[in-house]
Amino acid sequence: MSSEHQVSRRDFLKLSGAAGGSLLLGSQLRAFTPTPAAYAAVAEDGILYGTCGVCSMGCAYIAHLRDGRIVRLTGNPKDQTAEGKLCVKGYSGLRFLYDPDRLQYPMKRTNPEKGIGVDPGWVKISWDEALDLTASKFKAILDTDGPQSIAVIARPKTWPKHFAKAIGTPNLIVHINTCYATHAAMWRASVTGKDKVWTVDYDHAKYILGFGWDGMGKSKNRWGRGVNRARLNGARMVILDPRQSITAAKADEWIPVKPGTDLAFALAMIHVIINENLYDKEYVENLTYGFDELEVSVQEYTPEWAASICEVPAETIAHVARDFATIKPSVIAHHKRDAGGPNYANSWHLNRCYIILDALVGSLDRPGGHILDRKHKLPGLGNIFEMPPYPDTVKGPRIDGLEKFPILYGTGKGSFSTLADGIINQDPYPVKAALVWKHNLLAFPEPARLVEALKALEFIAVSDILPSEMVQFADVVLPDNTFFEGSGLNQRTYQAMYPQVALREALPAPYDTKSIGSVTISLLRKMGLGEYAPEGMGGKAILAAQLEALGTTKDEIKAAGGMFGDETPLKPKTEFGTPSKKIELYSTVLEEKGYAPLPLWEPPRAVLSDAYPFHLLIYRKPFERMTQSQNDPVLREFWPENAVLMNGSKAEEMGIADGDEVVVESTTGKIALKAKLIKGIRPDCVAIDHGFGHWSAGYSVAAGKGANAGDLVPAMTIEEQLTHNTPDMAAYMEDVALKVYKA
Amino acid sequence: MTQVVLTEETIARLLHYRFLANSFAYPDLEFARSLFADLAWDKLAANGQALGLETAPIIAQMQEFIQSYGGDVKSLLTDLQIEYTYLFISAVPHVPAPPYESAYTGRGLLMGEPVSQVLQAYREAGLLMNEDFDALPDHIAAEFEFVFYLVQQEAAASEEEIGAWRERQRRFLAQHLVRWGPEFLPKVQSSARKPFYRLLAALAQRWLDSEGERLPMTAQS
Repeated sequence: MSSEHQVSRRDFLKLSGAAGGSLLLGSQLRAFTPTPAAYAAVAEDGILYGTCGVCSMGCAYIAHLRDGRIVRLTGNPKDQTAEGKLCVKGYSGLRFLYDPDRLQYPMKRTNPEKGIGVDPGWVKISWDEALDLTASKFKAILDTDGPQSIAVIARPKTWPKHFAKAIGTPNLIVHINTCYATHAAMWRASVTGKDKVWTVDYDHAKYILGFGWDGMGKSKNRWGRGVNRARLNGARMVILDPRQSITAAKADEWIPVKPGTDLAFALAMIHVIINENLYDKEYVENLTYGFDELEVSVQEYTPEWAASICEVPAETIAHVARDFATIKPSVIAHHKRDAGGPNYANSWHLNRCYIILDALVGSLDRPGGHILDRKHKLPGLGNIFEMPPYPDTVKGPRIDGLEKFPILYGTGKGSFSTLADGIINQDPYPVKAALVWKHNLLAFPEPARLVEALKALEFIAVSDILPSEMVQFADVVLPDNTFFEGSGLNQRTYQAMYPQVALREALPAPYDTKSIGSVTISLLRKMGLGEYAPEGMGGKAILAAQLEALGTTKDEIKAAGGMFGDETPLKPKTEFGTPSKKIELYSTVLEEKGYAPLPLWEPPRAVLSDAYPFHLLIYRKPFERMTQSQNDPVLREFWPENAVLMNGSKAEEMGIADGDEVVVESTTGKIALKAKLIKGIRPDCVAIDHGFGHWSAGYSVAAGKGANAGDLVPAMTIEEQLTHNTPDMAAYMEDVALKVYKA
Repeated sequence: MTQVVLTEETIARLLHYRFLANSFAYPDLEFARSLFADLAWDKLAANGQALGLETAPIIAQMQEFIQSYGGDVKSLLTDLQIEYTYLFISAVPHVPAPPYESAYTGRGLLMGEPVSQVLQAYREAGLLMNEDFDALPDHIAAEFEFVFYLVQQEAAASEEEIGAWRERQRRFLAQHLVRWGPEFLPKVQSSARKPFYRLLAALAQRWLDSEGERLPMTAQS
């Protein structure tokens, strides 16, 4: 080779640039386009409006951009929920967007064997291949086995619901019975005729009472500020909780009630308030139904009776009842997994007591109390696009048996506790395939049962953001957009004192990801169900139709700071969504479906014994989001893994020292964790923080850290679920007896 | 017509950057086919040799690996794609070597400050990201390709512009590839399950070392 080569400029450019195909000279630039204008281009700064998707509060944010990347988030000051601030989880939400472990491209498995710790042997594929493969598998199963053979395990949002109904499967499986099924079913049966009420006007409350509610400890952004404001205005806060939660630590009174017995406390409160004539007579007279029946039924529930059950002095019960009825406005604080959530077999009665107590003091839909929905009317899919009716098969029997629980069935959701057994026992029929969106294995009671069930399926497609445990069972991975990459309108729900809508503008997806909406439309078309995915269907058309319904435009909303809807004074409701149009203290809805119409004492499921002498408590931390946030290395620096909180004196008795590894065991499973000894917990309880125990090695940070308390909680067959026959079809996530011993 | 003088060094640098940019991109059929061209490997080895690189043994091992497929392009491609997905996209255990500069700086989040820095460098050199480039701007393949482009521009530049193009290369290498390459490439070498990417990473490291000597990295970086 000579040391210099003379070539023409044109030949040179050909040589080094345009010659196609060879290993060394390559094709043209792949990553770049030479653009004269680029020299003059500057970094694109700007903002995008959106709503936080870390938790369901959905605070409106403003994303500050540089070079197409979000460098900072702030709360939207125009949003009544965010009030210009996000919470610790929201501010760190960028972790989901830019996690190096994020699912960036569609993939398929090359190793047919599935299991915990088995390498799926992922290979990147194109979206065409991923969607073709998924659609053809679903279509084949649909044709030979029928639509019920496909389960859609997904958050109950527009698109997965549409997909399930369009293909005709009754099996839209939702996490509600590990989350807030009790609230949804009881509010439906007593007040709304629909779902739970989310907004609470804490700002104006004077007395806040919670049963296992840890709103501060979960760092619920707006509620935290509301409670703080109320407290600065002199409001009292009283918290019943076997563990001294963050909220309990900030309360005027912490009452360490025996787990699963809050119901006795609440029934006795009703007894005191009625018998001492402390209730709001005008409100009860005009707006409630069944007071007389209630009065009779609570006569046996004296504070003395309750004291022996819940291990709280009768005087305490009586004084809390009196304070609650006289320091007004007063409100029962609740959200999801509190004592009146799907944690205990008697939680549904307690949840009824929540509603009844609010009604007796007249705070329901009044300042300082729970506020029913104030929302704009927005058209949905069915209003916007012309489609044939969904097939009747969607009303058929379900694999999780939800139809046997008519009140919860009305909410159209589903059960995590019975899904695994339904699939394994093929009861009432075999399920062959699943489309999974944003639900992880670790969120199920007894995940090992679900692992067995998933292995029994022929085909699984998973749409998600991170390589979760569920993704490890996927045949095809459909990488999802984060909330930053989606657009549309978002109704204020968790703090909606007046109707207000937040605009969501999409950050152009930096990776090769697609939303579940886009996946739904493609799959339906490829499966020959194009009539359910008509021309023009998509987020853009929905946004356009909804803006039209509101009589505004995107530009107008942007000019107004990303929010639509002016503040209006609260007009108290005088009619409710029940058959009597009143708040049903005596629920005719429950009665009609064969359940007790009035709250009664029933014991919880778990009975402590010498062999299993501890109650299980599961709690959540302010900076953690369920099973989704454990892959953040910053969080792991100051909270490396979860632990078992134990009462120090009790542990000492047992020869367990702080930091000792202990085994926590139920009749369902056992886990090993380090013990953390504290004073603020009853001696008969252990508390474990939720979210850990990830085994998916796809998480570079979270994998192998801590353990999952869900391993201790039994899944159920439909028959087992029916022996309890509670209208909330709850998973009874804390109604479990445990033994604890040194590892 | 303007005549361009291509020194041996320029040719070697163009070949190496093109080779590295192509090889760190997701393998496609065209790429897999090109791996069977012995002539290309020989050329790469000879060019490396001319700059005193001693990469011939690495290249010989790469060729040996390719030849073990006996011309079966499809099998080679499948293996490379699985290996690439494992090393750089998603894996069990977790993805061992994210191919993005941002993963090696700050909190380890993707789309970090390096993205703004490289985009600024690309823009100053007259480049925008291709819309159908499906990776992030600080992907190793994009950064290698960018230097390829800079060398190309230097070679075609007029006398008075040469210095500026050379300085861009020096600065970009010093601030980016020479800085994070030594963190990224050993991860590839220790995690690869098949020889191709292990050898490629070794070759890339030698190449970056030699570039570090060729263009003074310490001054004015």
